[in-house]
Amino acid sequence: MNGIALTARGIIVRLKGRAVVDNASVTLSPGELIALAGPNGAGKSTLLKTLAGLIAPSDGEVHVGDQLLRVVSARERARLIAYLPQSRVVHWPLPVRNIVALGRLPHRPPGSVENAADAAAIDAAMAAMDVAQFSDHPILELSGGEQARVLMARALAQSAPILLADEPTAGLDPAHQLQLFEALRRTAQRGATVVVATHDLSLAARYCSTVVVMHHGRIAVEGAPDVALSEAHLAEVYGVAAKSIVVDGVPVIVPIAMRNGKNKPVS
Amino acid sequence: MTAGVSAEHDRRLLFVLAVACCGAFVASLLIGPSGFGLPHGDTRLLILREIRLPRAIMGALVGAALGLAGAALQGYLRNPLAEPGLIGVSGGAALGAVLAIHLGLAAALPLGLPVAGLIGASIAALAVVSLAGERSSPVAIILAGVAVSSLTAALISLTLNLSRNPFAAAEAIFWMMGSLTDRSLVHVYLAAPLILLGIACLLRVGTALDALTLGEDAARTLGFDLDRLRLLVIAGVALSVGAATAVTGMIGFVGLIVPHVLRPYVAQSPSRLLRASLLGGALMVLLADCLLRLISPVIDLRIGVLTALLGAPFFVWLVIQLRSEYAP
Repeated sequence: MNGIALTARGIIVRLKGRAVVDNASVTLSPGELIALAGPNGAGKSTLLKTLAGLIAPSDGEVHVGDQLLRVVSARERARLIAYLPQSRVVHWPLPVRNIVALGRLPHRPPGSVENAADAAAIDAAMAAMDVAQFSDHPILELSGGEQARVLMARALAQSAPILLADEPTAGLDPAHQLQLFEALRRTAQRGATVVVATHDLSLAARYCSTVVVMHHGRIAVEGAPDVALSEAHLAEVYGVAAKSIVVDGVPVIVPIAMRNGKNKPVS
Repeated sequence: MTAGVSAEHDRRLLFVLAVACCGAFVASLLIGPSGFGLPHGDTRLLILREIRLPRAIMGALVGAALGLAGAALQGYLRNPLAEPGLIGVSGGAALGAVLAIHLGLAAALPLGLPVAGLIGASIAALAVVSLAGERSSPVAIILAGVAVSSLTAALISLTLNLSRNPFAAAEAIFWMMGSLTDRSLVHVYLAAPLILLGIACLLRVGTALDALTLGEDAARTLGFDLDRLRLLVIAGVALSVGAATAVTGMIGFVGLIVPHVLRPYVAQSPSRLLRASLLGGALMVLLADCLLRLISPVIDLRIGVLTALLGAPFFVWLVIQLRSEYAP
């Protein structure tokens, strides 16, 4: 897969007069798994939607490779950027495989049937998300976590050089959280640019090469996980006293108490 | 199920529906006031060509339009209770027709009634689009459709209320009940191009409706232009259902029931449902019209009344199904 970088310069997104994303600049490079962290309302989802081309920024530009994102046709954009929304919407109880197959729509003319390459991408994505056993099940009969895995598989099946996933691990059991991040890391290792908005700081620290931390719409810090997710930054951005420890060589970030004094540990 | 299997499955379903439609079409040609069979005497070709053929063609076209429009609207609005009347065009067509009857246009001009119906449907569609606004959401379209439908219903009531001629009022009421009786080839020539154009619009939206299963954001990032989709759906429904209603009056429940019955047979796929519903709608209206004529010596039933009589119990069953689905 040829890597394509996604670059945002001076992005400002105003929603109802409020700058939800305020002068954000970031370069997302191929081969990297990048975590987008920050408290609720920091602007992560809005920035991801802007990077996906769903929101036109009030100011600033997004480049995909060396092209301006806003001049790329919708169909071409769909081949370049896969996006997994935070809201897990499925309106009809389609069989799981047919849901995953929707990821292949940008790759073929409307009305045509899937070819061998489509089938291979669909099967690989379903295997990566451990949903192959649900292939013929109506998706709405699965549990919330299982549905989330199917939707992640749909985004993976799109086989785009850029993958943007908004909180894909929410609602997943620990084993499948690890599996999902493993799949994202493999995707990045194959040369894709992968961005994942997450609140799971331990998984971000463990799997991501870069962490971008947002706060009040701005990019507060960007860097390697041990730098961006330092205890000082966590205190400033999330307002928590957190401990960063290493267990069996795996970084673990544990929030201990809120900094305003509430919720102190009982000891 | 892999794509190859589902494509084969689709072909079989469409083949069965198409054969059934052809059978119902032929049956429709064979049913007359004297029962089942070809007409007798020197006028039999005339009867076939001028009376039974236009009736069967209109039945097939109107059914196809209603079934397809229902499937497309349900897919676009992602609402299993959506039906073609929802966006106000049927109400607009009915108002146009009732006004034509009230003002005497229907009696004065041979095509006064259907042309007035078409004008009414166009105005209603434009009103819904401008009311819902640019880049409108499905909810805005439903609300605009309900508003326009309510207004047309109120204006129809007003027209009937002010009618000094009880015969005109009765004619208008009977017209609204829907009928394929006494439609000539001229009616077919008037409505068919518009219905076919609408059908062509709606048959183009399948893949986008599939993508919309995952919500609007996901559909857009899969490369679909939702503004174009909305235009095609509204234009397609307005053309096909507007023209159908203008010629035959209100034939309810076809657009609601047909997609529902067929959805399990196409693995719930919005795109695969379109062609199946087109044929299913044609089949339902042709069969209803045959049934109607077979029982008509006993009761003079209108087709819209018959489809409603068949449709309402189905709707009750649907509500019970959905109730258990959404039970806490």
